[in-house]
Amino acid sequence: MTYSLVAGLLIEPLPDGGALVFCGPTGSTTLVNDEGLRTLILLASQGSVSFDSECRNESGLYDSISHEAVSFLERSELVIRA
Amino acid sequence: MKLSDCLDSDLKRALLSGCLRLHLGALSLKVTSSVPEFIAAFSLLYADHPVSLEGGAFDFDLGIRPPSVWRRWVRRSVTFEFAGDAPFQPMEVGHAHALFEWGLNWAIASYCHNQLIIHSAVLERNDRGVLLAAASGSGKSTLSAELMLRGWRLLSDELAMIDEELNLMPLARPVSLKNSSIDLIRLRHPLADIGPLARDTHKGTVGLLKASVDSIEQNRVAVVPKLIVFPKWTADSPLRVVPVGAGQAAMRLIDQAFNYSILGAEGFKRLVNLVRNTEAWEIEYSSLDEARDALDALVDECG
Repeated sequence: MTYSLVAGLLIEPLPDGGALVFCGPTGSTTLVNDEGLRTLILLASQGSVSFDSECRNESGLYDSISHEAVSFLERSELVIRA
Repeated sequence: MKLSDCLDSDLKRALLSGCLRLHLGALSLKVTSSVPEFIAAFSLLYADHPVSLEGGAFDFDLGIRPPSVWRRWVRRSVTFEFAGDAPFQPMEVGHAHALFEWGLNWAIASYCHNQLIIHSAVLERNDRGVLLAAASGSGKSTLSAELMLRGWRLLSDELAMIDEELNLMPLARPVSLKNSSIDLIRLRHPLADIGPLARDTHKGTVGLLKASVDSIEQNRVAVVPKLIVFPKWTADSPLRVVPVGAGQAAMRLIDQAFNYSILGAEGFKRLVNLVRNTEAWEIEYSSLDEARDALDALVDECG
């Protein structure tokens, strides 16, 4: 599955961990934990990311990102295209 | 000049003619009324607020008026008017002063979008601003009244107004006490000025407590927020004080914000700045003395 973020996300890491994320297109705010933050930064920096198991195993790039984090972001009101 | 410096006849004439301006922090309000019950309560509750009687510019045009002629025969009631419109149903004349406060809250929350507005009491001690953010019924007005009557400065018992510099804008005005908290505050502070009771409102019995002179005199002096507290009164509960993470604090404040969605990204930035620059705590209590002592300690300890 390939995911991409729409433009207009404001990501603000917090001093005690995690981050607040504001989604411009929907006006919603989401609180993410450190894992969710890593996933978002990865998505934002790469433009789009394919989370297939082969890629995860070979590159190690996504080792720190779990399906739970991706699943949480999908359920949030952030605009994520899958 | 203070309202209490005005002659009764001058005050009534100004209220009737639309020339009265009530200066409330940064706001100037045009207040119009011919309703004797409202004028009496207004004169008591705003006695120490600055006013002018010569007209002039204003931010909001507010009125407490008798409704249409035929309704006057059905029941003695009054209408809150905002710039000539009546946004709410008429209420009993005995509720007029409470209706004025609710109407003013509505006007501020609906139109002051240069501020991020959160449903929260705001107080200050030692130049440190404290937000008491909670839904209705959690006891924040009672706690605000107690703190104010013990020397804290009141900025608001209802609306935290946060500007782009992250200052808390003062708006000291009567504190809205409900039901059993009225007698509780009277018992603890027999000299407190509480206006006539508005009974059988949709919030039960409402008694408005006059703001302290010190709070009113500093109504143009903004405060930097240092502490966010989520108070919760629970019968027979032992005192419980627990820290709240910045992210959780932000999400809880969004739930209590009136215009967060209107401000968009600007509101988000202001909120992030707020939680980054403050400590957040949750206090569950049943004893006002214990809650006050805990808040004193938190204020003393915060940076």
